[in-house]
Amino acid sequence: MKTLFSIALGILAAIGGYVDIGDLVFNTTAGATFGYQLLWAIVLGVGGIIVYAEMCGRVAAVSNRAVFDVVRERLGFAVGLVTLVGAELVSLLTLAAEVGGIALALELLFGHSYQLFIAVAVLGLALVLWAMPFEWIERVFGYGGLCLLVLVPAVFKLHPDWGEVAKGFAPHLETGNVPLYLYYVVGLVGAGMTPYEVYFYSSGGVEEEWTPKDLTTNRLNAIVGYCLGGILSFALLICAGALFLPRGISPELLGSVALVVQSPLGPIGLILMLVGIAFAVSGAAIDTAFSGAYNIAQFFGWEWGKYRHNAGAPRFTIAWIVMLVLAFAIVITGVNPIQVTEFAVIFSVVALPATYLPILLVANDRAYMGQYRNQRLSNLLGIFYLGVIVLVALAAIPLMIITNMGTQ
Amino acid sequence: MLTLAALALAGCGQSAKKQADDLGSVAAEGALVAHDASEGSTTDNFTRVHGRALRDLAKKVRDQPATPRLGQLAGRIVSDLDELADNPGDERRAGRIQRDLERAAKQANAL
Repeated sequence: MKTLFSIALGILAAIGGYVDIGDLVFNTTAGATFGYQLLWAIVLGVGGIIVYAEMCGRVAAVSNRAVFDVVRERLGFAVGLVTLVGAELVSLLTLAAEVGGIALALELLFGHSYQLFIAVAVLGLALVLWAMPFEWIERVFGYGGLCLLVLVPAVFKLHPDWGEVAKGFAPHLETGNVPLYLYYVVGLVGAGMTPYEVYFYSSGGVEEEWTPKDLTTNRLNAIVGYCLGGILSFALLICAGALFLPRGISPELLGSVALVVQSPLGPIGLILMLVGIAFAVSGAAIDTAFSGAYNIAQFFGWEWGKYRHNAGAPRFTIAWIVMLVLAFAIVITGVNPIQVTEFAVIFSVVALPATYLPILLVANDRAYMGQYRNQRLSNLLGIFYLGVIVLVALAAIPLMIITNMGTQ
Repeated sequence: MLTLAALALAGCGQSAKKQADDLGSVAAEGALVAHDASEGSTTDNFTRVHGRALRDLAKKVRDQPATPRLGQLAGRIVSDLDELADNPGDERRAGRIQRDLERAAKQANAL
C-alpha cells in the first residue's frame, strides 16, 4: 500500500497530462480517422516523457530545484522570460479548457446547465487547492482518474482486429493524406510530452521533499505513471478505431469519448467513464493551475509550494488564484473548450525545446548532480528525444495551418 | 499572428463535400446514441445532453447549407435528434429514430 501511495504523483501527472480534455478528444479523433495506425506515436510520446520526467525528478531530488529554476539559470533572463510567457499562456489556455471539460462531464452525468457547472468546477477547484494537502490531491485525483481503466474491457468487448492493432505499433502510412497523418503524429507526441507535466512533476518532487534516497520512487513514478497514461491512450484510440471508423464518425464532442465505452459496456461503463473523465480533467486542471503558479514563483525566486501552506507562500497562492479566475473568465464566454485545448497542445509543442534542453543540461552537470548525473543511456535517449522535440516543434504550426486544425 | 491566421482559416466557408461528411458523421453518431437508448443501455441525461450537442452540430449545416439538398437533410437530422433528446427514455421511439438516422447517414455519404 505504501508503494501504491508513493507513485500517486506520477499517476496524477500522467493522468492530468495524458488524458485531459484535449487528449481525450484528440486520441478519439485520431482513432476514428486513422484506425490503429498511430499507436506508435503514443509509444514515442510515452518514451519521451518517461525519459525527461525521470531526469527532472532526479534533478529535483538531488538539487532540490524544479524546472523553471533551471530554465532561468541555463537560458538566461531574456530567453527564460519568453519561455515563461509561453508556458504561462499554454497553462492558462489548458486550465480554461479543463474547467470547461469538468463542466461538460458533470453536465453529461447530471444534466443541469453547463454554465452552472463551470461555476461549480471553479469553486470546487479553488477549495481543493486551498484546503487539501498535496499528497491527498495526488491520491484523490490520480486514483479517481483510474476509473478510465474501464476503457480496457471496452477494447476487448469491441473485438478489434488484433493483427491491425499490432501493425499500428510500427510506423507505417496507409493514407493519401500525409499532412493530416503528420498533424496527428505531432499532436499525439506533443500531448505525451506537454511541458506542464514536467513543471508539475518536478515541483511535486520538491513538494514531497524528495532526496537522493527517493530516486527509486522517482523512477517508479515516471515509468508506472506514464505507462498507465499511455495504456489509457492506446485503449481510447483502439476503441475509436473499432467503433467509429467503420461508421464514418468523426467525433468532435466530449460525449463522443464516453460513447466508445457506453456502446460496448452499457450504462455502468458510461457512468464509470464520465466519473473518470471528471477526475482526470480535474487532475489536469490542478496540474495546470499549480504549474502556472510554480513557474512564475520559481522564475522570480518567490517562496512557493503547498507544503509551505497558503500564508507561507502568499505570492504563489495569489498566482494560482489568478490563474483560476482568468480561466473562469475565458470559459464562461462560451468558447469551445475542446478547440481551446487543441490550440494549447499544438502551441505547447513549440515551447517544448526551451523546457527540455535545460533539464538535459543540468542533469549532466557534475557540480549539481555529482554521482547522480546522467549516464550514457539517459544521455542517448535524452538527445534522441530532444531531436524528436525539435522536429515536432518545427512542424506543429505549419501542419496546423495546412490541415485546417486537422479537418482537411 | 499565427494563432489568428489559424483561427481565420478554421472559420472559412465549408464546401458541400465537407458539409456532407459532417452530416454523415453526426447522423451516424446520433444513430449509435439512439440504438443504445432503444436498448435501455444508457442514461437519460447522457442521451439528452449528447443528443442536443449533436443536434447543434447539424444545425450549423442546416442554417448555412452549401446546397438545398444538404439543407433538407440537415433539417431532418436536427428534427430526429431533437425528438431523441426530448424523449430519452422512450425506447420504441429511439428505435425508429435510429433507423431514420442510419438512412440519413447513408444519404449524406452518397451526396
